[in-house]
Amino acid sequence: MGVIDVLNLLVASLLLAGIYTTMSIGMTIIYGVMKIINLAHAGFMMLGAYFVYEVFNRLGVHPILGALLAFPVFFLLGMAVHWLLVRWLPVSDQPTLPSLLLLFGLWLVLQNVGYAAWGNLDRSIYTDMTLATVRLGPLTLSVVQLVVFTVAVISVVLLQFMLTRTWFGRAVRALTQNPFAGQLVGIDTARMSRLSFGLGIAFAGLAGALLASLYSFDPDFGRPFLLRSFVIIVLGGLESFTGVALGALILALVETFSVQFVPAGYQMAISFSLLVVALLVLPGGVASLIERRGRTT
Amino acid sequence: MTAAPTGTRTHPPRVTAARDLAAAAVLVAVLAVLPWTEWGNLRLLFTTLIWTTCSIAWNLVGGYAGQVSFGFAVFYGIGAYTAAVLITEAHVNPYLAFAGAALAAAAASLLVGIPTFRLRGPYFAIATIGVNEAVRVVMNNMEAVGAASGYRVNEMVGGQRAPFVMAEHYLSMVVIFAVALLVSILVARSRFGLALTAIRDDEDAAADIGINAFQHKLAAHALAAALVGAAGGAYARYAAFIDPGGVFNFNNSVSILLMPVIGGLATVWGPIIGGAVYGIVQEELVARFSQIHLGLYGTLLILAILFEPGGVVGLMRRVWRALAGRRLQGGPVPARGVKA
Amino acid sequence: MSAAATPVRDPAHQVPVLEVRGLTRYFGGLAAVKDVDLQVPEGAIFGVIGPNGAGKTTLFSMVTGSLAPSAGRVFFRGRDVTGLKAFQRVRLGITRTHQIVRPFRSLTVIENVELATRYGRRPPGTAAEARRRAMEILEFVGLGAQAGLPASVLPVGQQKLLELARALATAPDLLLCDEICGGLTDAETREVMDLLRRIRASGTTILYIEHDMRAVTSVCDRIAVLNFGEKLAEGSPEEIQRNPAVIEAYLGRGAAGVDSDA
Repeated sequence: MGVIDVLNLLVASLLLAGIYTTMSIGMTIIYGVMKIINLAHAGFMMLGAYFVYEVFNRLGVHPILGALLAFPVFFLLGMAVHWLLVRWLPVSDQPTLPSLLLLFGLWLVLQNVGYAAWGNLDRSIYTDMTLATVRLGPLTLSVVQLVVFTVAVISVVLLQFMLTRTWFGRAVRALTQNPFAGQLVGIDTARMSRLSFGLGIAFAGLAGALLASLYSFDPDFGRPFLLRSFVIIVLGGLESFTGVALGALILALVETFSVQFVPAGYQMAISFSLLVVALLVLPGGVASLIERRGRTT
Repeated sequence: MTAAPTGTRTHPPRVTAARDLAAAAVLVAVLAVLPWTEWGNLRLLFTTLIWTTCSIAWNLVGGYAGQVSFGFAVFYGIGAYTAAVLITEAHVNPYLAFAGAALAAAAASLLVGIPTFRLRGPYFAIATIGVNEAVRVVMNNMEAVGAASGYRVNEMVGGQRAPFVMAEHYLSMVVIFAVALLVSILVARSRFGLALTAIRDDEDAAADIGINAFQHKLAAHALAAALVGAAGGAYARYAAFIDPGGVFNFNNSVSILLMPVIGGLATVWGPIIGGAVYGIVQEELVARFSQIHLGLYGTLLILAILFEPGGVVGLMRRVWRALAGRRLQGGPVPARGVKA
Repeated sequence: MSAAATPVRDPAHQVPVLEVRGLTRYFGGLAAVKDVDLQVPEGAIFGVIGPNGAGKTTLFSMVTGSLAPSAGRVFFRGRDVTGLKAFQRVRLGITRTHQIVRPFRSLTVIENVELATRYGRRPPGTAAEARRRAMEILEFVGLGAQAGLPASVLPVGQQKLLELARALATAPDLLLCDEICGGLTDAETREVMDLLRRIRASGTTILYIEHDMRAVTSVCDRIAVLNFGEKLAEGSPEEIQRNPAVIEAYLGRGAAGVDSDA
């Protein structure tokens, strides 16, 4: 493998890391504010993919534009789902079993909606962009990957800006640290939960919509990405979005390089092995997830 | 509050397993004699017993111990393949093969549990999804047992292919179910079961009274995996053909989890109710409305969580208490408004 | 074994039940507990007091094994237990109560205690024996009438007693009580103090965190004062009450002249 090949792989990893970050951020927001692990995340990503597919096929809207459209649509969808189902869950500073099972049930329902509406055949989106490449010095880059990466990065940067500069962002960070104290300082936690859930779903839909330009999909589309999100969050920690970006980069690098040596069918096993290794080897870095050794007052 | 003891009063009686064991014995007896009656649909009961056994097993880990696993299909599949290979390649007696399947599944549960039980609750759950996927993918590529094309089970008796006797398959599953039921009842009333419940309620506080939580979780996991593995073995022998997409299917893990949740977690009879309902409904449903079964299970799960987390058993208890409370003076009633 | 690992013997040549040497714990850059030394003699009721955030519960957690120290060692009857997990220490005889009660809510009051007897230092042979012993302990703390109730319905005062009962059920050699009087009335506090004296009389050494000065001074033989994670002072209750640094830590600068009687 020559230097050029390695560089190509590195660039590919970077581009992949961008979309992985967008994908995981949705879960991170919801977990941060509500301490809920959103298993339905996979379902909303799948719906995002189909959303952009329909919009492309029926209305002729370019898939990237369609992905941008998905964001507000899924934001509203997320708030609706929260209002209907999620708001009944008890507030906790720890993920609870009912929240896990409720959202898992929702994921099953969403999958069924997917199968009912679109059947189980693979779909994909083809545009002029799909196979186009561009040369950057000695490197060959896929145009669609570049565009997806750009959109992904812009969305994350905007999110980071919002978190640090707006009242909403400050409230999100406060609630992430302590959901109970948030109420004490006058944050309307119910409204914050609704908005945060909507935002998390918006990112899920956006990520799914962007991924639709890169991969083919069926109603079971979300599951490997759900697992990837989890691996990323474990690797990078739930503290900051830079942590998520870092975790995304690590996973992307491992996946991209391992495909050179291992059959593609084993991808999932690789991701999972990475997860297990991370858990066993980095207890400090992922101390927020495993055995809580710090019970202090 | 009295400072000095006024003499030991008699303690509340212990809940014993006697009643449950009696009911279980009756149930098993009824099931066992069915092949000699007019009952025509042994096949339906056979598959229902498989589901119910898995449901009871999962309840040990997910119900009593509170460790929700989304990956029990792994143990089902490992049991199936182990029995399949033992019967076909090594010509092992099927019943020994089932035992082998149970052992293999239990061993696998240790491999899975040792890294994943360091995770708490929901994190453990998600990790098990990963395990399910990883194992399915690996088995899909394992040429030695047919990879994605599957594996044919060839049971030989005296140099000839063994005949298919539905009653025998059915009865072996009755035995496995009976073992599962016995284990479940014994665990529920034992020190081990109490400890699992404590671990579920508050793992750190359990450690503070001397419980080795990690060991207990592994033990419950191994017990459950063994039961599920045996059921998988029985299935493999019956179906005579297994493939990774079938036995390691994530949907199996979903179903195994669904049954005890809907029937009633952490109870003896809840998983059985859930399993019975699921097994029978599944047959009818898949036959006629296969397009909506995911949505149906999802909806059931959502309804259960929102309205009756105790499942069918919880619902029945509430109804019973409401009826009983009106007729009897009863013992101490929890004060309203006291936060549980 | 290096000299640093050998426990110190007190003048009576008795190995202290608990010795803590140089115990330190950092959270990020903050030292919650810094270089604390303590020796708790046999049969004592040893109090640990200090303002909120002084590091008392952190210290406890390191003694019971639910928290690993950043530095320092813990000796129990001369044996280095620093590496042992919490459940292992219970089997040796170290048990705690929790400041914020943590009952097993799915179980009844007596099942909570019964479970503790069966996993503690002296597990009984049969389930019936365990239940009988659990009932005895419940009577001892005054919860006999509540034995069959779900643990979740008890009011806070009785939850505290349940914590105590459950800890006693493990047959502890060293009992760590973490602010067991928090939220109790004066009358309830006096009864708990009485219980502690009777527990000590039956042979258990007690290490006692408390915020309530009156409770502590009435029942403790010896008191250590923590402030900002460091040991500020140690001595008899009278010495502590007169100690100006202690008064200042609790009441602020210039309060050293205040009557320390209440």
